[in-house]
Amino acid sequence: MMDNVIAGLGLLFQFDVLVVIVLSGIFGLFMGALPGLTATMAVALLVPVTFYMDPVPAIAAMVTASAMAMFSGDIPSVLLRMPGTPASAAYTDDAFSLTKQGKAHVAMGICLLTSAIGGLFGALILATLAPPLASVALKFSSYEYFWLCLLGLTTTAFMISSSRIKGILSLALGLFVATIGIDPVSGVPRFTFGSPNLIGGLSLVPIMIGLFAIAEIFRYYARREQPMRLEQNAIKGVFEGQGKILWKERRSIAQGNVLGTTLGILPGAGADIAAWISYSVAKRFAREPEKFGKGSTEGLAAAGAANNAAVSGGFIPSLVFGIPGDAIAAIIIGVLFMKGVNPGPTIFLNNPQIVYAIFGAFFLANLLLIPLGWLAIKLSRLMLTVRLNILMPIIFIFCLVGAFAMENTISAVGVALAFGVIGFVLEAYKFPLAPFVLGVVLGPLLEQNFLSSMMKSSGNWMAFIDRPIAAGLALLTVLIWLSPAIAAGIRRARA
Amino acid sequence: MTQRFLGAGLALFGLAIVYLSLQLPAPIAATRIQYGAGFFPIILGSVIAIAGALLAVAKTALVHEEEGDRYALRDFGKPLVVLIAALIYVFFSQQIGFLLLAPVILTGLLLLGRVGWLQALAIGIIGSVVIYIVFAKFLLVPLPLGLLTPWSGWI
Repeated sequence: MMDNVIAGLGLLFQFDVLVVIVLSGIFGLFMGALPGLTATMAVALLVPVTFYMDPVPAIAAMVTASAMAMFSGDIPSVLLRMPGTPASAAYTDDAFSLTKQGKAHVAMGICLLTSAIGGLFGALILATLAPPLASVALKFSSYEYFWLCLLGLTTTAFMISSSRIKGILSLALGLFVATIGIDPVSGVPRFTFGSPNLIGGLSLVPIMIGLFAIAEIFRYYARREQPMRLEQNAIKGVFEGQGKILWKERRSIAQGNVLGTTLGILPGAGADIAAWISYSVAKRFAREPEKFGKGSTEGLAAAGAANNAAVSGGFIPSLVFGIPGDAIAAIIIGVLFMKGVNPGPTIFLNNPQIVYAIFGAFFLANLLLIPLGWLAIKLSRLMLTVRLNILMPIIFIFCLVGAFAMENTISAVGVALAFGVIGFVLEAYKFPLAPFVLGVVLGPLLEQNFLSSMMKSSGNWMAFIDRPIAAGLALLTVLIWLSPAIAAGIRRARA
Repeated sequence: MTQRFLGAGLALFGLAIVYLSLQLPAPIAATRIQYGAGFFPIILGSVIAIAGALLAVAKTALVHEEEGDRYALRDFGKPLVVLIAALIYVFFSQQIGFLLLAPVILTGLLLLGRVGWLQALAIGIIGSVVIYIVFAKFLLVPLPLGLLTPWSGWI
């Protein structure tokens, strides 16, 4: 094992890889800091560039950019009361209230340090949990994988969405998109309408560029621009008194770390949901709940740690089972597949050095967050003067070229554009996008595992619950399906 | 378009998926199972049709639905221009070429965002050339030259 760790770190600590990490970190900080540009968009835009790199620098670049963007989304929350990424929205009021009290440096310091602590905690759990989980997963057959996919999709559609119908619709649409192209079992083309471009199915990357970048550009042009007003001049003393604050908020930080990592592991939850849930749990058990929304350092610490912990935790199911925890992990998985490195338990046998390089990248990215994040805070006034009316058209051209670069066909640009429109409409009507993306990624896995299980068992349905782990996963999935009815029953019994 | 229309549209889309899936060939005997290429899409089409119909007919309060963003019709004007620009790129970039079309689209979109004429023109040209150099020269993406093909040796 030690040999693999050393080989993995050797792949990571190379001059060109480190340069890529620093550059992508700066890119992530910049993207996250601008309201309207999300961490997912940053990662999606990196794909065309990382396409030409080796697996380790490509993955390290994406991991770094997502961790940095997750933190820098807090910068406009503190300065403008405008979350830079959706994951920062939970505690924007608290961050801005501190700024109005003249404590912008305190808010920035808490956001920066708890982000790094959360990310490092998630990385630690990733590095300790993933290898033993993978050895269990090696024993999985198509039955367990079928239930695992279904469980993932179920949690995405049922538990995460504010509206269950919209969650289910979004998921079903994503699963449908995955059926376009040749059916892997029968070889029959489905929904291709005779187009040779559709025979191979739709690639993930143009879909992601469309959903998360082009849709955002449409949304930018659809809304009436609000002028930004900076409340604070220069920010000094970011780390001043932070030791005391972090010690005081140690319980909130620990809770944010654990909740964030756990929610990150759940498919579909991701950083945004982790921040919201961690914030509300912190409020319920807070020393001073009345301060929440008015500059609570407890809330800020709990949610700030949770969103970065979720990014690291979200990679556990991706690496171990090949099932992504959120949209960012889905993009990274797509890139791993393109590079011929198939995530799942066998990656630990076939490419162990890459696994350890990925673990190393998570640690390095979250450690680098502190100096680079500090620099971003120092330069925040400058960054926020960048005008979106100049940046958005440039990103738009970048999207067109980026989508083209993946397959060198103009039809990929058409796909990105179509999904830009779909993403814009779905978001306008508050459909969650995570179930859609996971549907696209997990759809083929779900169908193939179902059909191969049926072939193995000659159509015997009982085979799906014959094995203990499969039965356990099945029970959990059914319980989640029945949860609305169970909750309603409990409410009725109480009344 | 209200949410009800969207729900109705999705319900029809679901039915269309079911109809098209029913046309797909029956399962192959060799697979020893009774599920063909249409099995999975029929389930998905049905789910989309039922959930879309629920969205269309159920009372908003009953299904706890949020209506979503309120866009006025005129808010769609600018996104429509962006969409048309992209469609022009999709259909004509091979013939016209990236280096000629991208600066026009980029300048146009900058003007749409109320950037001044000169600044828009400068950023439009420089931005496109930088993106071309990064992708075509460093990453070796074969961006179309179009009308500039005769001068490909110089570019």
